[in-house]
Amino acid sequence: MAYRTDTKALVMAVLADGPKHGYAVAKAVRETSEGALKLGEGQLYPALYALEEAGWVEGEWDPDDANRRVYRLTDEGRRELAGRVSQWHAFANAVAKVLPPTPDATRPEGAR
Amino acid sequence: MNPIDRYLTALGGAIGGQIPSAERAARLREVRGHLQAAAQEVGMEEATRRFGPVSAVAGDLVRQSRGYPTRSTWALGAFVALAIALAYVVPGLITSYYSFTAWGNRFGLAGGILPPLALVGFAVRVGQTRRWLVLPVLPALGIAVASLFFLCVVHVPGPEKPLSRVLHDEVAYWQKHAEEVRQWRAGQTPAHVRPVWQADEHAKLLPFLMLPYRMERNGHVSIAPSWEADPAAWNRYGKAWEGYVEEQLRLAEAALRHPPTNYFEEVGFDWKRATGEWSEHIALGTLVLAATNALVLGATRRRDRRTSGPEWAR
Repeated sequence: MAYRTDTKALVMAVLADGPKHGYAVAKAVRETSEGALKLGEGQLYPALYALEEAGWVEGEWDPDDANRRVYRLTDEGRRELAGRVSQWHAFANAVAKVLPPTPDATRPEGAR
Repeated sequence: MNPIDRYLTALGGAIGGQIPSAERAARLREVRGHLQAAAQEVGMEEATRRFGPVSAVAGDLVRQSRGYPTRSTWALGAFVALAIALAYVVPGLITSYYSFTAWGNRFGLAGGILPPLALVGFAVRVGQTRRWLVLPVLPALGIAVASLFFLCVVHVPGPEKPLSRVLHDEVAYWQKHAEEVRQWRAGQTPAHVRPVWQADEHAKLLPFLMLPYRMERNGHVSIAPSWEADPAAWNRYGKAWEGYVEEQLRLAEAALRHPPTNYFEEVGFDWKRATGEWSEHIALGTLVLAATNALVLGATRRRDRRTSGPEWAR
Protein backbone atom coordinates (compact mmCIF):
# COMPACT_ATOMS: atom_id res chain seq x y z
CA MET A 1 0.00 0.00 0.00
CA ALA A 2 1.31 3.43 -0.80
CA TYR A 3 -0.28 5.53 1.92
CA ARG A 4 2.07 8.25 3.07
CA THR A 5 2.32 8.72 6.80
CA ASP A 6 3.73 11.52 8.85
CA THR A 7 7.09 10.25 10.02
CA LYS A 8 7.66 13.23 12.26
CA ALA A 9 4.32 12.80 14.01
CA LEU A 10 5.11 9.12 14.62
CA VAL A 11 8.50 9.97 16.07
CA MET A 12 7.04 12.69 18.30
CA ALA A 13 4.26 10.35 19.44
CA VAL A 14 6.81 7.75 20.49
CA LEU A 15 8.89 10.38 22.29
CA ALA A 16 5.80 11.67 24.07
CA ASP A 17 6.07 8.54 26.27
CA GLY A 18 9.56 9.55 27.37
CA PRO A 19 13.09 10.21 26.10
CA LYS A 20 14.56 7.61 23.76
CA HIS A 21 17.55 7.12 21.51
CA GLY A 22 17.10 6.60 17.79
CA TYR A 23 17.09 2.82 17.76
CA ALA A 24 14.48 2.74 20.52
CA VAL A 25 12.30 5.14 18.54
CA ALA A 26 12.42 2.92 15.44
CA LYS A 27 11.72 -0.15 17.55
CA ALA A 28 8.79 1.50 19.33
CA VAL A 29 7.18 2.49 16.02
CA ARG A 30 7.55 -1.05 14.72
CA GLU A 31 6.32 -2.75 17.88
CA THR A 32 3.48 -0.35 18.68
CA SER A 33 2.14 -0.73 15.15
CA GLU A 34 2.55 -4.51 15.55
CA GLY A 35 4.96 -4.56 12.64
CA ALA A 36 2.60 -2.73 10.29
CA LEU A 37 4.80 0.36 10.09
CA LYS A 38 8.40 -0.30 9.27
CA LEU A 39 10.27 2.92 9.60
CA GLY A 40 13.40 2.69 7.47
CA GLU A 41 15.88 3.12 10.26
CA GLY A 42 18.14 5.27 8.15
CA GLN A 43 15.22 7.59 7.45
CA LEU A 44 14.64 8.13 11.13
CA TYR A 45 17.64 10.30 11.80
CA PRO A 46 17.00 13.03 9.21
CA ALA A 47 13.50 13.25 10.70
CA LEU A 48 14.92 13.53 14.20
CA TYR A 49 17.39 16.23 13.12
CA ALA A 50 14.62 18.16 11.41
CA LEU A 51 12.50 17.95 14.56
CA GLU A 52 15.46 19.12 16.59
CA GLU A 53 16.04 22.01 14.22
CA ALA A 54 12.38 22.99 14.55
CA GLY A 55 12.74 22.93 18.33
CA TRP A 56 10.22 20.13 18.75
CA VAL A 57 12.70 17.67 20.19
CA GLU A 58 15.96 18.08 22.04
CA GLY A 59 18.83 15.66 21.73
CA GLU A 60 21.92 15.12 23.83
CA TRP A 61 24.67 12.54 23.85
CA ASP A 62 24.06 9.70 26.26
CA PRO A 63 26.63 9.87 29.09
CA ASP A 64 26.47 6.05 29.30
CA ASP A 65 27.06 5.40 25.63
CA ALA A 66 29.29 7.72 23.60
CA ASN A 67 27.62 6.69 20.32
CA ARG A 68 24.05 7.39 21.30
CA ARG A 69 21.99 10.52 21.51
CA VAL A 70 18.86 10.60 23.60
CA TYR A 71 15.94 12.62 22.33
CA ARG A 72 13.10 14.11 24.30
CA LEU A 73 9.98 15.94 23.22
CA THR A 74 9.87 19.64 24.09
CA ASP A 75 6.76 21.53 25.17
CA GLU A 76 6.62 23.09 21.75
CA GLY A 77 6.88 19.60 20.28
CA ARG A 78 3.93 18.45 22.37
CA ARG A 79 1.82 21.30 21.01
CA GLU A 80 2.90 20.44 17.47
CA LEU A 81 2.09 16.79 18.05
CA ALA A 82 -1.36 17.68 19.42
CA GLY A 83 -2.04 19.69 16.28
CA ARG A 84 -0.90 16.89 14.00
CA VAL A 85 -2.93 14.32 15.92
CA SER A 86 -6.12 16.32 15.60
CA GLN A 87 -5.41 16.89 11.89
CA TRP A 88 -4.82 13.19 11.40
CA HIS A 89 -8.04 12.19 13.16
CA ALA A 90 -10.04 14.73 11.22
CA PHE A 91 -8.57 13.30 8.01
CA ALA A 92 -9.09 9.67 9.05
CA ASN A 93 -12.69 10.35 10.11
CA ALA A 94 -13.43 12.05 6.83
CA VAL A 95 -11.98 9.14 4.86
CA ALA A 96 -13.87 6.63 7.02
CA LYS A 97 -17.14 8.39 6.21
CA VAL A 98 -16.53 7.96 2.50
CA LEU A 99 -15.05 4.46 2.37
CA PRO A 100 -17.36 1.47 2.85
CA PRO A 101 -17.24 0.05 6.41
CA THR A 102 -16.03 -3.39 5.28
CA PRO A 103 -14.51 -4.89 2.11
CA ASP A 104 -17.73 -6.86 1.65
CA ALA A 105 -19.65 -3.64 1.29
CA THR A 106 -17.85 -2.96 -2.01
CA ARG A 107 -19.60 -5.89 -3.70
CA PRO A 108 -22.87 -5.44 -5.61
CA GLU A 109 -25.89 -5.79 -3.32
CA GLY A 110 -26.97 -9.19 -4.67
CA ALA A 111 -23.50 -10.68 -4.22
CA ARG A 112 -23.09 -9.88 -0.50
CA MET B 1 36.42 -4.98 8.80
CA ASN B 2 33.01 -6.01 10.06
CA PRO B 3 29.73 -5.20 8.26
CA ILE B 4 29.06 -2.18 10.47
CA ASP B 5 32.47 -0.69 9.74
CA ARG B 6 32.00 -1.37 6.03
CA TYR B 7 28.60 0.30 6.11
CA LEU B 8 29.91 3.33 7.96
CA THR B 9 32.87 3.66 5.60
CA ALA B 10 30.53 3.55 2.61
CA LEU B 11 28.12 6.00 4.25
CA GLY B 12 30.94 8.40 5.11
CA GLY B 13 32.16 8.22 1.53
CA ALA B 14 28.68 8.85 0.13
CA ILE B 15 28.20 11.89 2.35
CA GLY B 16 31.68 13.11 1.51
CA GLY B 17 32.18 16.80 1.95
CA GLN B 18 28.55 17.66 1.39
CA ILE B 19 27.99 18.54 5.02
CA PRO B 20 30.43 20.04 7.53
CA SER B 21 32.99 17.53 8.79
CA ALA B 22 32.00 17.91 12.46
CA GLU B 23 28.36 17.28 11.62
CA ARG B 24 29.32 14.33 9.44
CA ALA B 25 31.37 12.81 12.24
CA ALA B 26 28.49 13.23 14.70
CA ARG B 27 26.02 11.63 12.28
CA LEU B 28 28.30 8.64 11.66
CA ARG B 29 28.89 8.26 15.38
CA GLU B 30 25.16 8.11 16.02
CA VAL B 31 24.60 5.66 13.18
CA ARG B 32 27.32 3.46 14.66
CA GLY B 33 25.48 3.49 18.00
CA HIS B 34 22.24 2.57 16.26
CA LEU B 35 23.77 -0.27 14.27
CA GLN B 36 25.52 -1.67 17.30
CA ALA B 37 22.25 -1.68 19.25
CA ALA B 38 20.41 -3.31 16.36
CA ALA B 39 23.19 -5.86 15.84
CA GLN B 40 22.69 -7.16 19.36
CA GLU B 41 19.18 -8.23 18.35
CA VAL B 42 19.42 -9.16 14.69
CA GLY B 43 23.12 -9.40 13.86
CA MET B 44 25.36 -6.97 12.01
CA GLU B 45 24.35 -7.88 8.46
CA GLU B 46 20.63 -7.54 9.19
CA ALA B 47 21.21 -4.35 11.17
CA THR B 48 22.89 -2.66 8.22
CA ARG B 49 20.27 -4.01 5.81
CA ARG B 50 17.48 -2.58 7.94
CA PHE B 51 19.18 0.76 8.16
CA GLY B 52 18.70 1.14 4.44
CA PRO B 53 20.73 1.59 1.24
CA VAL B 54 23.79 3.76 1.80
CA SER B 55 22.98 6.14 -1.04
CA ALA B 56 19.42 6.75 0.20
CA VAL B 57 20.52 7.28 3.79
CA ALA B 58 23.32 9.63 2.71
CA GLY B 59 20.90 11.51 0.45
CA ASP B 60 18.41 11.99 3.28
CA LEU B 61 21.11 13.18 5.67
CA VAL B 62 22.52 15.64 3.14
CA ARG B 63 19.06 16.89 2.19
CA GLN B 64 18.22 17.44 5.84
CA SER B 65 21.46 19.27 6.50
CA ARG B 66 21.67 21.42 3.41
CA GLY B 67 18.05 21.79 2.49
CA TYR B 68 18.60 20.53 -1.03
CA PRO B 69 19.61 17.11 -2.26
CA THR B 70 22.53 18.00 -4.45
CA ARG B 71 26.19 18.44 -3.89
CA SER B 72 26.66 21.25 -6.31
CA THR B 73 25.69 24.87 -5.94
CA TRP B 74 26.78 25.18 -9.56
CA ALA B 75 23.95 22.90 -10.60
CA LEU B 76 21.53 24.99 -8.55
CA GLY B 77 22.85 28.22 -9.99
CA ALA B 78 22.79 26.99 -13.58
CA PHE B 79 19.11 27.72 -14.08
CA VAL B 80 19.41 31.28 -12.87
CA ALA B 81 22.70 31.81 -14.67
CA LEU B 82 21.03 30.70 -17.86
CA ALA B 83 18.16 33.13 -17.32
CA ILE B 84 20.51 36.02 -16.67
CA ALA B 85 22.75 35.06 -19.56
CA LEU B 86 19.75 34.93 -21.88
CA ALA B 87 18.60 38.28 -20.54
CA TYR B 88 21.89 39.76 -21.69
CA VAL B 89 22.66 37.70 -24.75
CA VAL B 90 19.32 37.43 -26.53
CA PRO B 91 18.63 41.15 -26.97
CA GLY B 92 22.30 41.64 -27.80
CA LEU B 93 22.27 38.94 -30.43
CA ILE B 94 19.12 40.24 -32.02
CA THR B 95 20.30 43.82 -32.11
CA SER B 96 23.74 42.86 -33.38
CA TYR B 97 22.27 40.69 -36.11
CA TYR B 98 19.82 43.21 -37.42
CA SER B 99 21.79 46.39 -36.73
CA PHE B 100 21.84 48.12 -33.44
CA THR B 101 20.68 51.46 -34.68
CA ALA B 102 17.54 50.01 -36.24
CA TRP B 103 16.55 47.51 -33.60
CA GLY B 104 18.20 48.65 -30.42
CA ASN B 105 15.24 50.66 -29.20
CA ARG B 106 12.72 47.97 -29.98
CA PHE B 107 14.64 45.30 -28.12
CA GLY B 108 15.67 47.66 -25.40
CA LEU B 109 12.34 46.74 -23.87
CA ALA B 110 13.31 43.07 -23.80
CA GLY B 111 16.64 44.06 -22.35
CA GLY B 112 14.79 46.00 -19.68
CA ILE B 113 12.33 43.25 -18.81
CA LEU B 114 14.49 40.14 -18.93
CA PRO B 115 17.05 41.11 -16.26
CA PRO B 116 14.36 41.85 -13.64
CA LEU B 117 12.66 38.57 -14.56
CA ALA B 118 15.97 36.79 -14.16
CA LEU B 119 16.34 38.48 -10.78
CA VAL B 120 12.91 37.23 -9.73
CA GLY B 121 13.92 33.74 -10.88
CA PHE B 122 17.08 34.08 -8.83
CA ALA B 123 15.13 35.10 -5.72
CA VAL B 124 12.71 32.19 -6.14
CA ARG B 125 15.58 29.75 -6.55
CA VAL B 126 17.29 31.07 -3.44
CA GLY B 127 14.01 30.71 -1.54
CA GLN B 128 13.66 27.13 -2.72
CA THR B 129 17.18 26.09 -1.91
CA ARG B 130 18.11 28.49 0.89
CA ARG B 131 21.63 28.63 -0.46
CA TRP B 132 24.10 31.31 -1.48
CA LEU B 133 23.64 31.11 -5.22
CA VAL B 134 25.28 34.40 -6.04
CA LEU B 135 28.73 32.90 -6.48
CA PRO B 136 27.93 30.19 -9.02
CA VAL B 137 25.83 32.66 -10.99
CA LEU B 138 28.55 35.28 -11.43
CA PRO B 139 31.05 33.31 -13.53
CA ALA B 140 28.17 32.19 -15.72
CA LEU B 141 27.26 35.82 -16.20
CA GLY B 142 30.86 36.57 -17.13
CA ILE B 143 30.83 33.77 -19.68
CA ALA B 144 27.60 35.14 -21.13
CA VAL B 145 29.05 38.62 -21.48
CA ALA B 146 32.24 37.21 -23.01
CA SER B 147 30.20 35.19 -25.51
CA LEU B 148 28.25 38.26 -26.49
CA PHE B 149 31.47 40.19 -26.85
CA PHE B 150 32.90 37.50 -29.12
CA LEU B 151 29.79 37.50 -31.28
CA CYS B 152 29.91 41.25 -31.58
CA VAL B 153 33.52 41.12 -32.71
CA VAL B 154 32.99 38.50 -35.40
CA HIS B 155 29.55 39.64 -36.50
CA VAL B 156 29.26 41.66 -39.68
CA PRO B 157 26.05 43.71 -39.70
CA GLY B 158 23.27 42.87 -42.13
CA PRO B 159 23.23 43.31 -45.92
CA GLU B 160 24.48 46.57 -47.28
CA LYS B 161 21.18 47.87 -48.54
CA PRO B 162 19.08 47.64 -45.37
CA LEU B 163 22.00 48.84 -43.29
CA SER B 164 22.48 51.82 -45.56
CA ARG B 165 18.81 52.68 -45.17
CA VAL B 166 19.16 52.41 -41.43
CA LEU B 167 22.12 54.73 -41.46
CA HIS B 168 20.25 57.24 -43.60
CA ASP B 169 17.40 57.14 -41.10
CA GLU B 170 19.89 57.65 -38.33
CA VAL B 171 21.37 60.71 -39.99
CA ALA B 172 17.90 62.12 -40.67
CA TYR B 173 16.93 61.55 -37.05
CA TRP B 174 19.86 63.54 -35.70
CA GLN B 175 19.51 66.19 -38.40
CA LYS B 176 15.99 66.80 -37.14
CA HIS B 177 17.36 67.32 -33.63
CA ALA B 178 20.12 69.57 -34.98
CA GLU B 179 17.44 71.69 -36.66
CA GLU B 180 15.62 72.01 -33.35
CA VAL B 181 18.82 73.11 -31.70
CA ARG B 182 19.35 75.73 -34.44
CA GLN B 183 15.82 77.03 -33.85
CA TRP B 184 16.52 77.27 -30.16
CA ARG B 185 19.79 79.11 -30.84
CA ALA B 186 17.87 81.56 -33.04
CA GLY B 187 15.55 82.31 -30.12
CA GLN B 188 12.62 80.31 -31.45
CA THR B 189 10.71 77.62 -29.68
CA PRO B 190 11.53 74.35 -31.44
CA ALA B 191 8.65 73.19 -33.59
CA HIS B 192 8.22 69.80 -31.96
CA VAL B 193 7.86 70.86 -28.39
CA ARG B 194 5.33 68.62 -26.69
CA PRO B 195 5.50 69.09 -22.93
CA VAL B 196 4.53 65.54 -22.09
CA TRP B 197 7.87 64.59 -20.65
CA GLN B 198 9.30 67.10 -18.27
CA ALA B 199 13.06 67.14 -18.29
CA ASP B 200 13.17 68.14 -14.63
CA GLU B 201 11.07 65.17 -13.66
CA HIS B 202 13.26 63.00 -15.79
CA ALA B 203 16.28 64.31 -13.92
CA LYS B 204 14.59 63.62 -10.59
CA LEU B 205 13.89 60.07 -11.59
CA LEU B 206 17.39 59.32 -12.81
CA PRO B 207 19.16 59.02 -9.46
CA PHE B 208 17.02 55.94 -8.92
CA LEU B 209 18.11 54.51 -12.23
CA MET B 210 21.83 55.15 -12.18
CA LEU B 211 24.64 56.19 -9.93
CA PRO B 212 25.29 59.94 -9.62
CA TYR B 213 28.77 59.77 -11.10
CA ARG B 214 27.31 58.12 -14.17
CA MET B 215 24.88 61.00 -14.55
CA GLU B 216 27.80 63.38 -14.60
CA ARG B 217 29.77 61.30 -17.03
CA ASN B 218 26.84 60.72 -19.34
CA GLY B 219 25.35 64.17 -19.13
CA HIS B 220 23.20 63.67 -22.19
CA VAL B 221 21.29 60.90 -20.47
CA SER B 222 20.33 62.96 -17.50
CA ILE B 223 19.53 66.16 -19.33
CA ALA B 224 18.23 65.07 -22.72
CA PRO B 225 15.27 67.38 -23.24
CA SER B 226 14.51 65.83 -26.67
CA TRP B 227 11.70 67.18 -28.75
CA GLU B 228 9.20 66.22 -26.09
CA ALA B 229 10.62 68.53 -23.43
CA ASP B 230 9.11 71.77 -22.25
CA PRO B 231 10.56 75.12 -23.44
CA ALA B 232 12.06 75.88 -20.04
CA ALA B 233 14.04 72.66 -20.24
CA TRP B 234 15.56 73.89 -23.48
CA ASN B 235 16.91 76.91 -21.66
CA ARG B 236 18.32 74.84 -18.86
CA TYR B 237 19.75 71.94 -20.80
CA GLY B 238 19.87 73.05 -24.42
CA LYS B 239 23.61 73.72 -24.50
CA ALA B 240 24.57 70.25 -23.36
CA TRP B 241 21.96 68.77 -25.65
CA GLU B 242 23.42 70.68 -28.56
CA GLY B 243 26.82 69.10 -27.98
CA TYR B 244 25.33 65.66 -27.78
CA VAL B 245 23.29 66.09 -30.96
CA GLU B 246 26.34 67.33 -32.84
CA GLU B 247 28.34 64.32 -31.71
CA GLN B 248 25.61 61.87 -32.68
CA LEU B 249 25.11 63.50 -36.05
CA ARG B 250 28.83 63.40 -36.70
CA LEU B 251 28.96 59.70 -35.81
CA ALA B 252 25.90 58.89 -37.94
CA GLU B 253 27.31 60.72 -40.96
CA ALA B 254 30.70 59.05 -40.50
CA ALA B 255 28.97 55.67 -40.33
CA LEU B 256 27.11 56.43 -43.55
CA ARG B 257 30.36 57.34 -45.29
CA HIS B 258 32.15 54.23 -44.02
CA PRO B 259 29.57 51.57 -43.14
CA PRO B 260 30.69 49.57 -40.11
CA THR B 261 32.01 46.05 -40.49
CA ASN B 262 31.11 44.87 -37.04
CA TYR B 263 28.84 45.66 -34.16
CA PHE B 264 31.33 47.71 -32.20
CA GLU B 265 32.08 49.96 -35.13
CA GLU B 266 28.39 50.36 -35.73
CA VAL B 267 27.68 51.68 -32.27
CA GLY B 268 30.88 53.73 -32.15
CA PHE B 269 32.30 51.51 -29.47
CA ASP B 270 34.46 53.32 -26.96
CA TRP B 271 36.72 50.82 -25.20
CA LYS B 272 37.45 53.02 -22.23
CA ARG B 273 33.84 53.87 -21.55
CA ALA B 274 32.66 50.34 -22.25
CA THR B 275 35.19 48.81 -19.88
CA GLY B 276 33.99 51.15 -17.16
CA GLU B 277 30.35 50.45 -17.87
CA TRP B 278 30.83 46.70 -18.00
CA SER B 279 32.72 46.80 -14.72
CA GLU B 280 29.81 48.75 -13.31
CA HIS B 281 27.32 46.22 -14.64
CA ILE B 282 29.24 43.36 -13.05
CA ALA B 283 29.78 45.23 -9.76
CA LEU B 284 26.18 46.43 -9.54
CA GLY B 285 24.88 43.05 -10.67
CA THR B 286 26.92 41.35 -7.96
CA LEU B 287 25.64 43.79 -5.39
CA VAL B 288 22.03 43.33 -6.44
CA LEU B 289 22.30 39.54 -6.54
CA ALA B 290 24.09 39.38 -3.18
CA ALA B 291 21.54 41.70 -1.57
CA THR B 292 18.67 39.70 -3.03
CA ASN B 293 20.29 36.48 -1.86
CA ALA B 294 20.71 37.87 1.67
CA LEU B 295 17.18 39.31 1.79
CA VAL B 296 15.56 36.07 0.68
CA LEU B 297 17.64 34.03 3.10
CA GLY B 298 16.71 36.42 5.90
CA ALA B 299 13.04 36.49 5.02
CA THR B 300 12.43 32.78 4.57
CA ARG B 301 12.45 30.08 7.19
CA ARG B 302 14.05 26.74 6.75
CA ARG B 303 11.39 24.44 5.44
CA ASP B 304 10.12 21.42 7.27
CA ARG B 305 12.07 19.10 5.05
CA ARG B 306 10.43 16.05 3.71
CA THR B 307 12.15 12.79 4.42
CA SER B 308 11.10 9.40 3.22
CA GLY B 309 8.09 8.06 5.05
CA PRO B 310 7.81 4.71 6.79
CA GLU B 311 6.81 1.68 4.82
CA TRP B 312 3.25 0.49 5.25
CA ALA B 313 3.75 -3.23 5.62
CA ARG B 314 0.29 -4.53 4.85
